Amino acid sequence: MRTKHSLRGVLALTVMFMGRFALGVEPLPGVPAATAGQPVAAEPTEPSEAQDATRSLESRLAAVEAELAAMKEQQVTERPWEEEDLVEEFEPTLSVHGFFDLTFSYSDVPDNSPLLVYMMPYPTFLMSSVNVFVDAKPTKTFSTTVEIGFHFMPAGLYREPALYSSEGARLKDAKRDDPWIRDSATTALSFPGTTRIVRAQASYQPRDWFGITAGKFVTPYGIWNVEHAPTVVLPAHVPYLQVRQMMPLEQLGLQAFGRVFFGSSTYLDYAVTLSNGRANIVNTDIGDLDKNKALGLGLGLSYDSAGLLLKAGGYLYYGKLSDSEPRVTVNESGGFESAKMVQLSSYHELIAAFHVLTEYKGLRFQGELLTTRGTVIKPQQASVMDLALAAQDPTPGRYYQASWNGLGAYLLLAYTLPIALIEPIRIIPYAVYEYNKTRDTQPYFNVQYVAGGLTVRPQADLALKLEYVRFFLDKEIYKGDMSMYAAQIAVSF
Amino acid sequence: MKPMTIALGLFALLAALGIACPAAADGPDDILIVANKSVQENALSLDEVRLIFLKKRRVWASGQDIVVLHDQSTTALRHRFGAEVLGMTVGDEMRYWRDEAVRSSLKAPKEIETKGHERLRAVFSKKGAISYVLRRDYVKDVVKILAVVGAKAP
Repeated sequence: MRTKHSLRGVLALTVMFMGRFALGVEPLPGVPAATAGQPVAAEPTEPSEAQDATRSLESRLAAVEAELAAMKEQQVTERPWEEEDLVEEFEPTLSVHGFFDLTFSYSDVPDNSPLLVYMMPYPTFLMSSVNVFVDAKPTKTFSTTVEIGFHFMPAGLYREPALYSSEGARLKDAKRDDPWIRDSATTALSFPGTTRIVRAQASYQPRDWFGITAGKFVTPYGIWNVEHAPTVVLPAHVPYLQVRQMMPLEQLGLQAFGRVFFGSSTYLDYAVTLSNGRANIVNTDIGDLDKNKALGLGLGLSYDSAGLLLKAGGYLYYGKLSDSEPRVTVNESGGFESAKMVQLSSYHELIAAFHVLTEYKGLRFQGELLTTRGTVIKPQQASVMDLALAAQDPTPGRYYQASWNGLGAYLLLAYTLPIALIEPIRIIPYAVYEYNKTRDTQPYFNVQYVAGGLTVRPQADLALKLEYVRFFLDKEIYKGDMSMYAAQIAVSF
Repeated sequence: MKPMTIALGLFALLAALGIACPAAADGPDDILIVANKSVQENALSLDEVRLIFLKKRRVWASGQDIVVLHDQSTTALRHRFGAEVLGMTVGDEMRYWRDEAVRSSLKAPKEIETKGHERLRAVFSKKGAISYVLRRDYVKDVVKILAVVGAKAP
């Protein structure tokens, strides 16, 4: 039995032999060299070993070709599966997952700064929330998502500071939420927090280019608002334009959305939203406080290939920022006379958000810009704290929230270090600059900072972060600039 | 006798006779992007394949759901597909799907092993299915080929 090694050796020899013959590098034994102008006379010779070898190879090649043809024939005739096996199956899915983070933070708050009213001046562990998702896809085109945030707050949260005169007289007690409960059976104390429904939506999407969502959904703007898990967000903190909700982070209503493809790597995402909009402080999830509905339109263009990602887009929102209260009028005998909803304040709110993102060979550049315009319809009384910080006479009803303009913007630069040796760990240094002027009528809330940090993702469900932030503040109001140091463990499950 | 040996011999013969033969035209290590015959598309670019396997595109032009089937994450084929088509390592992919669960509530594609033509059979039997196999594991006429990723020369 011929072995494959002997066949390969023979074939290799054949290549060398025939190549030499074709190129005419040197004459073979028994074959006279040609001279110019002279025909070569074939001399009668005995059959050479080379010719025997050639004939042998030819016959073996013919055998190989026949075997190959037979194999192909076998492949064609032997269909391993019958077409009756064809199925169109869909497997309904239900999954539970979520995220949380633990941050160790220290803020170097200047002495006597009003920031001490809001910020913890001591090194502290912080956990903002635990978010749990339940995703269900019972059919090919229908899906539901519920996201619940579990918070420690407001247990232990100071609503108002204690007030003292400059002579040291206590004018007002501090107000703190202390919803503690004592178990009457065990006498154990517990401090219940709150739950928040971040999302509760049902979606029907029969095509990539069209779908509709009903319920409470994340406002489709920017980058970090959609990608809000701490394992996804690179820095230890989301930007202030998001923290201060310059754009409503979620809305209750309807959303039409879709993705249209142009070519092989380019697509356009769109979203049209209709919702209750929002109100000052009060949550419009329990009901709209005016008859107006908020409208939104988002567009995003992406070039998405293996080597390069480019994204640019925007979202425009228009709604009324209102507050109302029910009023009942009673007659002289205390009986019901009339009832109506009275609008306490109302503003037109026009918000435009833009974002860009590019990723190329591990380098990531992203930025968001957000502008707001609030126009008075019926003014809202300014809060006591707003008036105090604005150095105005804190007489309720005397001053009100005027029309405003707001501007928020940040830039982020990050680079995933190309260290193949530590695969699959990813080390990502980053730098951020942000400027935030939430409302020009409240300049004491303006924020400007630079931050630098390092995010390490040792595995898909874990991110470790170290961050330093330097805030540049109004020194007259805040008594100096401030630094913040943070170390964070972010987990998704 | 293995097809690999036969191919080597034929190639050597053709090269010696001076007949031009394009490099790796039908190499056994080519990755074939294959789909169920119910899929109306006849060809896809690798960028389109990438968007499908990352579930950025989820429906065929006909309206049929795209059923994406991956090889198991530990195989050399899966690693090679990730590098040459997705532009990701398997670790990057796992991070992508974890993050995508938050962004869009999407789950990673199902994994089916290549052994015994298991995944090829799944593509054959599921409407709208798409996956990938090496040419050496391809069975003729049971699925359609939408794209080819040629084996790179060592």
